[in-house]
Amino acid sequence: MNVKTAILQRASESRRLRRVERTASQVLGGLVKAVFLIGFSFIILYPVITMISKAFMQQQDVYDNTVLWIPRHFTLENLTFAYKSMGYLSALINSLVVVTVTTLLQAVSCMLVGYGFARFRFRGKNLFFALVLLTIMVPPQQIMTQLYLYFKDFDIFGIVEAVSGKPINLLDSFWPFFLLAATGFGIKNGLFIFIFRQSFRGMPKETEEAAMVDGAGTFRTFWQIMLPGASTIIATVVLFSFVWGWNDTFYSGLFLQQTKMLPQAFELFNSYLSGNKGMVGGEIATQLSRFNLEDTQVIALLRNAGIFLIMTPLLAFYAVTQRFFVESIERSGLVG
Amino acid sequence: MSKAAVLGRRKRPLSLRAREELNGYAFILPWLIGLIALFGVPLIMSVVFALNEVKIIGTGGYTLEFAGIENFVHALTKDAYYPKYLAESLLNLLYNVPVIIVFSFFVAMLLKNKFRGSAAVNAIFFLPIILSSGLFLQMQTNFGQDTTTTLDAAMSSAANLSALKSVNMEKYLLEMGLSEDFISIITGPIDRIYTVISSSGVQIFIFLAGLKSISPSLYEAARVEGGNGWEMFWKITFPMVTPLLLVNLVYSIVDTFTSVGNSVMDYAYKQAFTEMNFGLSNAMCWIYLAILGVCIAVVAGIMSKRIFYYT
Repeated sequence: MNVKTAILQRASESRRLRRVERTASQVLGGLVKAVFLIGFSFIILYPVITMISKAFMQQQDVYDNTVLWIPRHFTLENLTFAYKSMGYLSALINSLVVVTVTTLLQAVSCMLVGYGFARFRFRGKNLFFALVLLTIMVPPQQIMTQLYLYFKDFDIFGIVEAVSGKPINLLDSFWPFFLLAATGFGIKNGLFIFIFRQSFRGMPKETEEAAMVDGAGTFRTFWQIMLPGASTIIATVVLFSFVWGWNDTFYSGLFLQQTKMLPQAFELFNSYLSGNKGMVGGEIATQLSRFNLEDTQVIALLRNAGIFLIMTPLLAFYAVTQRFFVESIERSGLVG
Repeated sequence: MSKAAVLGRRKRPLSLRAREELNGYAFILPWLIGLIALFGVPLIMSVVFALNEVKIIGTGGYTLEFAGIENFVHALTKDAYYPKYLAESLLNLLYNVPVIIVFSFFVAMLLKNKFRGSAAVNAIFFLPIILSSGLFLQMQTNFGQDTTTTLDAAMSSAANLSALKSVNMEKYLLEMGLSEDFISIITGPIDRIYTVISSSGVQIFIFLAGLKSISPSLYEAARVEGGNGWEMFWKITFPMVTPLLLVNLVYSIVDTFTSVGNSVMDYAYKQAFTEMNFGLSNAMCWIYLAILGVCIAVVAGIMSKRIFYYT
């Protein structure tokens, strides 16, 4: 009896010690982690906060040394001016339409293609996959002239010409974006295919085989078994493709002339600021004259306002998708 | 005869192998269409340009004069700057890619688990992806010349800020009697911490996605069997992210090679659009791509034994 209590006591003692040890190492680990994360976050946030605060400042604050981040003379003037002269609303709508549709198309096409490369054996697979890698490598600038000419006289093997008499001009429409995205040749789509292929290959095959044995067809297995397990990967790809589409100056500049997406709107706005007043219409010109454009600091304030307008929707989009990154896989417990 | 043959074949069910092959083609069909209809022609034209001397005629057209490998030879042997830029790029690659990969994996491991404020920290680490793409990247490189973007100015001052810090550390390490080369390996990435962070944004999120897709049941099983953290990392976490490690390696290599500010690419486009020498420009691009391809093949070759696939 006595011995037993002694043993029990010692056991509980050592358990307590172990618990103390564990919490100590947890606290220490948490501390180290916090130091790193706070340090990195500071480095990332520093320029961004500077930018945002300068979007809301009045001219005199820039020269006031006592003002660092919080504007003393808070103003929305920079923003409203940037908003008007960029033609923000129509550019925003164009950007939203193009980027949302291309993001969805790209996600679906890259997912299918990635799965095809990951799970099936077929002739020429390695060659095709090498070509996918090639499309990651070839910078779009290298093929831009050809792409431009191609969509200017768009034709699929002479079919369009046979029907309507002449090839169609797809420039200044959203079709080039959609066609490229649907076939997996949009912005950095090679990378997305690669990401999907790698992560599908890293997923256990057993559940899939079980589904096949139970009589699910290939596509059904894909939609019901593979996709839930890949939800984080899908969210990542959707996020990348939205951001890259949103910020893209290359394809949007190449395919659109009259229609403007946000990057072109910003470039136009920027050209006003650097003194290209010849193109400015009446109302904007009078507004512009209120700012002292000889002063580079004032230009910087206005530019920051423009950047702020372009960046905000991206942050909103991130806020919508972020739960996929913070939440773990519990919600999609199909894997494994 | 064909009708009978076709009918005869349809009677027999497709073999498993043939069905798999058909399924494979069905899945990659969209990409195949794109390759043939959209991407193939521009790509082939680029090769054709590289093999020809391209002359622009006043009306906007051009004539081709076959030149064989003349353009390639010119780029490598007669051009004053191209080989130099090429060597610089390669050195840059050897130095940057390992740092980026290690750093992004480290950050992804820090962000992997949920903790108080993890949503906010995740959001902060999302910012470099925005800031290192398209318009924003262009702003840092193009408008940087007239130094009026505060974004750009603030970024360089952030870089200076961190540079200041390692000056102290460098001195300290020197006094400890370490060699200068060794110290520069340590302090180099610290001095460029801003560049490292801003070019790791994508890699961090790819790693993070990989880490988050690891099934928790694997860890549970390991814990039941008495595995500790160290073992779980090397036996579960690391093998499970190796497929995406390859993606990150390839992406980092391509990204450092083809980013906007890259001297070789800039030089090649200058050949095309200011010197109007399209043939030479395309040849330069292709030489560069060939080197890039070799780098990727080497990395993939080394990795292929170590990647864990379920197949």
